[in-house]
Amino acid sequence: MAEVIQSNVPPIEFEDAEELIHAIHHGDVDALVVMKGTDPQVVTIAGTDLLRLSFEPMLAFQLDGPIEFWNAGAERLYGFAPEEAIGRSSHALLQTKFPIEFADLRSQLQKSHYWSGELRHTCKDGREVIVDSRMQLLSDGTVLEVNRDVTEHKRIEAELRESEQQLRWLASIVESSDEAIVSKNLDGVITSWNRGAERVFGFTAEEAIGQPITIVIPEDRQSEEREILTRIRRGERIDHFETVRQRKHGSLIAVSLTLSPVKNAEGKIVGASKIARDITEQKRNQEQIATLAREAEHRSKNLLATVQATVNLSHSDTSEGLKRAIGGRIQALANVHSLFVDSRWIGAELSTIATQELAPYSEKGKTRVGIEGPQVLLDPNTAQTIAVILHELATNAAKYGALSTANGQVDLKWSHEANRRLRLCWTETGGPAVQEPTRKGFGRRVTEQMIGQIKGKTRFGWRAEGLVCEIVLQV
Amino acid sequence: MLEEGYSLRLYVAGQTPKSIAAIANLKRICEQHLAGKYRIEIVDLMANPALAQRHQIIAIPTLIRQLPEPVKRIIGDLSNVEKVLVGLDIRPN
Repeated sequence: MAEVIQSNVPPIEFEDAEELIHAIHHGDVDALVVMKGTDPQVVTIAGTDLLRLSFEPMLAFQLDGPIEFWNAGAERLYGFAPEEAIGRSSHALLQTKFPIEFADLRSQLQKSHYWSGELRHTCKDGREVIVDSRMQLLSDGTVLEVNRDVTEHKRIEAELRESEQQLRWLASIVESSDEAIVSKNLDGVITSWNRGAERVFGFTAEEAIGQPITIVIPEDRQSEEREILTRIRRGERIDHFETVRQRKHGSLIAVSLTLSPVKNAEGKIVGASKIARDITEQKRNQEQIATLAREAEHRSKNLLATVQATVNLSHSDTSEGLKRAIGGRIQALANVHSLFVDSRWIGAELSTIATQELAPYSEKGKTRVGIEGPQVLLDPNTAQTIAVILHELATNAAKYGALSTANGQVDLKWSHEANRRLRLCWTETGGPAVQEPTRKGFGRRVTEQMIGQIKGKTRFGWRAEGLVCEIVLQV
Repeated sequence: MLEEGYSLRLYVAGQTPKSIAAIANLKRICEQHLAGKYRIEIVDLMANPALAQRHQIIAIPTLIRQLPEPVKRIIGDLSNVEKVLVGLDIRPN
């Protein structure tokens, strides 16, 4: 027994000894004073200190009681010193947010002596941290809580999720694109193949991936691939390269290719992405436009020739009369041209031409012009000629023939004949008495010459009751 | 000056968990039950083990009530408030 130096204090008495044993037994003490020689020395219970010094955040409390233990790790993470934390409720101190009802957590702890999950704590400086928490209920009712800071981990996880989402979003754009988007490595082996590529080239992704890109390149263009790969390796981009590719079953398609090098995270070129647009339709349209332009040029030349003939054949005693005559004929040409536009230059319906030219002579409620015949589509050249001739005949009738009197009548009829021939018949009745003219009038000359130009025949009959003009054409 | 008050001395051993807990618990109990009439003296035996002899301290933490007489001792981290109050005679048993 140690020497008692000064003692107004009683030495350890019986009940104190019992209490001491109890305290040690219950772990209420963690250090003892022992004598080493004649000097007292403090011995701490091994292990406690290690936990206290550990940077692993740890705290302990009685279930529903205040914090009793708060180590260096907890201080480091939360910023509270042990003397600030001990004695306070941990949930109040750290403003703990639980993932489940606290009552459930408590009953789980009591039942299985263990709980683990994610908690949100607020540090001394107001920062919120997310911890992966493990709680252990010891036999004396102490809860030992060990927390790992996963805030940064969670943040990175969220970022990854977001970039993954973006990637998925991009992938779905690529996948749903109408254009063929494929990638290949530097050996020309296909590494991805979207739905557009399946549609354009006819190979499914399953069939194409792993195959050389040359499966879509026609025999005579295989060298293009070497050229493309060389340029890609140099880091060049290839824009709108128009070429021909081959579909699965051999048919050829015109495509416009755009290729860009694909780099890995280190910036090294590892392959190429290729966008192929099927321009077969576009090419066809271009050709159609070129054909139409040539056609338009041809038509214009024809038209000018017709105008020139019309001018040459026109005659009048006065310049005013000449102007009127030419003007009327050119108007007839203009009218028929409007019809060509409607049919996209295929031609014009004979009945439409006739109605257009003879319309001015039909009076309200009184039919003076009869038009009758089957549907015939005249080619532009023939249509032009017929329009001018109908104009000519009608003008003549209005001046001298059936349309110059109140009760005159004109009938235009046509019908198909053998050998693709068409017979038109212009019959005037009820006009002034007719006599065969002694010389060919201008109208008649125009008619015969123009019909002659389109390999047709004209016959005029001067009956007393009115003029008859028969025209036979090849259609 | 503290004739009527409590003079308490708490023996601890550096920063052991029980020591820290005992300090915190004692301060809280005193503030709640002896506000204005107590004085606490904390003795760190880790720093000066010889001071253990005066009150024959064997286990740490130990609280000694020096005043009012008689001297009383409570062993442990003082987390059981009821036991502390009884031990200090603050509330009749």
